[in-house]
Amino acid sequence: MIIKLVIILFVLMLFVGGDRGLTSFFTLVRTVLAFIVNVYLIAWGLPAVPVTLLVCVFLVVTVIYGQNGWNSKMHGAAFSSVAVVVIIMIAIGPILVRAGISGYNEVEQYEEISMYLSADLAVPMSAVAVSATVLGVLGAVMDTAVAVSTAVNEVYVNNPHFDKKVLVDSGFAVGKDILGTTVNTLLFAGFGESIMLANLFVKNGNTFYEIINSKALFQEISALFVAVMGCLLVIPLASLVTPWFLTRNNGNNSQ
Amino acid sequence: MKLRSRYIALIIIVLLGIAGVIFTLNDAFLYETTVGKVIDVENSYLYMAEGNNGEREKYYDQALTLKILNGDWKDSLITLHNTYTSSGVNDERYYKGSQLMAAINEEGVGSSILGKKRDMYVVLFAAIFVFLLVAVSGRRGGIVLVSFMINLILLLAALSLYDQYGNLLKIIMGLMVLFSVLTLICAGGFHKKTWVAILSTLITILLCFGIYMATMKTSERIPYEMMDYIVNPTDLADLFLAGTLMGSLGAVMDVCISISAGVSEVTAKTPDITLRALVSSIREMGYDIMGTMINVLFFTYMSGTIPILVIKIKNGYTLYHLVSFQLFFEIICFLVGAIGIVLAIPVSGLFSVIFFGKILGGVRELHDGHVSGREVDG
Repeated sequence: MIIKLVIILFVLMLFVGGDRGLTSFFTLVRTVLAFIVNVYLIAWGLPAVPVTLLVCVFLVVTVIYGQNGWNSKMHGAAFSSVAVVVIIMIAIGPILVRAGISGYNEVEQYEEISMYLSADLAVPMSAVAVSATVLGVLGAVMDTAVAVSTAVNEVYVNNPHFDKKVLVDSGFAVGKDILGTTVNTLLFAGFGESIMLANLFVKNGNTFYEIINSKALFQEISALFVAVMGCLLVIPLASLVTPWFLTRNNGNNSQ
Repeated sequence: MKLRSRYIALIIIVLLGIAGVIFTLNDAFLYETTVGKVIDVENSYLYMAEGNNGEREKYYDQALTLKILNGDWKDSLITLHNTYTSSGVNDERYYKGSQLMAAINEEGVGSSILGKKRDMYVVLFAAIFVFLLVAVSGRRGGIVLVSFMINLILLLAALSLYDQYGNLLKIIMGLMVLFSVLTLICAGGFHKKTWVAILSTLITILLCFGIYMATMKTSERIPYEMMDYIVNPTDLADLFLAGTLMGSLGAVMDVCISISAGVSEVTAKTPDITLRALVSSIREMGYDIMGTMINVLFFTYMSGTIPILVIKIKNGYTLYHLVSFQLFFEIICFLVGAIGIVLAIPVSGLFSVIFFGKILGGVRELHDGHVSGREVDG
């Protein structure tokens, strides 16, 4: 079934997007491979957070520059994406660890499969969980960063005399447009993912206190909230940073 | 004026957020289970265990001194023991200052820790989320928030409806129509582009449903028993389908509203645009959205699986097993969503062109061959 759906997706992307659809498809393949490499590197015992950071940088560089070319507006997008990933790791990571998002949750603990699996892994699951959360942010962050930088660049190319404030404002304006839709994508993907858990809570008749303190709920919503936070953080950052890259580049050219 | 009201709103959000966190730090009196605050921790090394591949897993004991915050033992101190490991796969490490729930028996004999109290973190995250949303996008952010709350309530209501009356698929289908109408009106207002987006969203989701059913019926059985959070083994197929379609819905709505808003803008600016130029601008918009949205969906679905993947790889499972059993559901969700994104481009393009009045006799033929032809090919 997976193979059939992949073929359908490939054919559709080819027909709707043409050559560029093909490029997108191969970007996706590369992303999948990077994801798998990331998981295996962690499983082989390399420290999860630095490895994920490296993979994030690799993905940012290949996806952003690969789809949009090597130019100063994309420097703005790439820089702000990586910056947001680092900010989230440093600012949100410790909270996640303290709140205990890692390891099996209450439900998984009593599932058959977790009884068979050895738990002596010598891989700190808290770092793995932080890495997973950060990686979940990446797609939405890159998407938003590219959109904002492109818009700022558009304004800059048409009116190079605009001062930085106008550029920053236009970045914010586009950011808002993107935000409404990206947030929807994230929220509904989250709904789709947690429908099983929500059904479990409803069927089991758990109390409100049990639900709100459960690790299962926290795992689901922290991923969702952090992804939206990343998306929101990257809008001001990309709006501020891109004009700097653009005007700096301009200064170099005129010399 | 507008900016000032946003500042006021932000200050209110910050105050509410702080109040919420303080409240949840002190809401132990609402709990029936005993809540305690860790005021002292003494960690001591216990022993080393060897994993399947010679991993050295360290076990530690924690002597936790708790101050009980509610119930009969309020304000008394009690010491409980907890074991944690360096991996923390199946256990929890507690920190000084954190609150936890415990079952306390007579004078601490046979007492046990039930789990961490996490409500303050939930409130903290929600507060940061709302703050950023309003800070960055103002009123628009507020609207997104309201539509999110309504959707969440609808989802829970639908699930309890299902719990009482059954027939999940019908309920979910109705729910998805409601979701798209509400969310798109929130995003686009009462405007022609909104109606076009709603129509194309529903058609695209129907097409996704068709593709899902067609591929499912012609493939090997889905290993539903491998799903997470199973309550009742009889409704798994329906639940999974519902989750898959709902996951695609957000992305499909985004594409549809972007395309119909784009076409609405283009036709308003240049009313005499040729059909060919319009179609090529739709293609352009579609391409821009397609690649990035599929990426977003990929990371959203896949990243959550990393911890269990690491555990399973460590336990010697092959990539083949992981893809066909563990990751299977996420992959299907992702693929159906990605197909939805790509399909939404020609579908919403077609309806936008029809409803923004660009169809004239001779040109119609060209258009049909050009846009809807691609759907047939898929």
